[in-house]
Amino acid sequence: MSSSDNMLKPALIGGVVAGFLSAIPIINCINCACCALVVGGGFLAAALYLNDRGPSPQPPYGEGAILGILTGAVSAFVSTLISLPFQLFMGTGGFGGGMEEALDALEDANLPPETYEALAQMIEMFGGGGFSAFGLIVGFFFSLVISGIFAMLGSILGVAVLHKG
Amino acid sequence: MLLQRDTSYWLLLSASMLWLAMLLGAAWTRSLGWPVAEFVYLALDPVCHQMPGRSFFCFGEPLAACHRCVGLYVGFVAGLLVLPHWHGLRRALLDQPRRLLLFSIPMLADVFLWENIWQTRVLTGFLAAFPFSLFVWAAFAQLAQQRQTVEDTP
Repeated sequence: MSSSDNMLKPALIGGVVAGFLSAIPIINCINCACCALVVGGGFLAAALYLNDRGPSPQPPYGEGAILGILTGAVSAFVSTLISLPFQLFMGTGGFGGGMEEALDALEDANLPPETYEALAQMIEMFGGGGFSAFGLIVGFFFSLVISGIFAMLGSILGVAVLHKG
Repeated sequence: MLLQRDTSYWLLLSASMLWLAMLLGAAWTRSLGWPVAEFVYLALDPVCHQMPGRSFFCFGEPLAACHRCVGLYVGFVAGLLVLPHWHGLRRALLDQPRRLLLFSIPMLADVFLWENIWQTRVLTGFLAAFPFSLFVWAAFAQLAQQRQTVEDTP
């Protein structure tokens, strides 16, 4: 079995745990501390991976990085999927709340009318007035990048701390 | 472990500096009233509470990351810049990676034990991220070496 096959199970477990917790309102506030839930998911994945892999003379930091990116991808997918019902019921899909700030900033910017119209239309597409599928997709891709980076850091941290020579 | 300042190092350093520049760029574009700034603030919203009372201000706008996060990001970049020249600390950390945790103790104490001020938030964040950058560099270097090995295999 190759190392990438060995990574699948830990990445799935770490990603599902991090994604599930990141989607639950109130609990997801923990992510405000430097994405702690996602970093924790990466750390958990590294712990499981090292447990399966057994001792090695050199800590597998590189494999930890790949494992973390996989974990982040799973986490982004799971959190988007689980947060969907919350967003549908609460009407805060995609970038709903934040986009109102963008619209306000646009009004204050003193732009030519045609530029204002085009930008306002674009912001509405992202979910200016509530739930938007387009906003959800863009939010998912942002989440994919951010979760990938922070889960990678968590996973590398896990390898550094938990590796047994 | 042999760590060289090869492409992977420069790639990591560039990405880390770009991340810092993004924070400043978002504040600058927001001060100009450009809506594009909101995308950066929104993208970083899940990562940091972004409370203006706990953030630095640039161009009259709060940064998209709090004092502690800025400390962490600056510490990470500083680590990448300094550790290639600080052989003693580099060797000590790579030989015993768990020593990394010692650098996080002040930050954990600052979060949980006392009422912190902006100086302690920045400093402890800086200290926690400074040595960690070495391990991310090591990860990138290992991946580059593995890629090189695969390419060299006939």
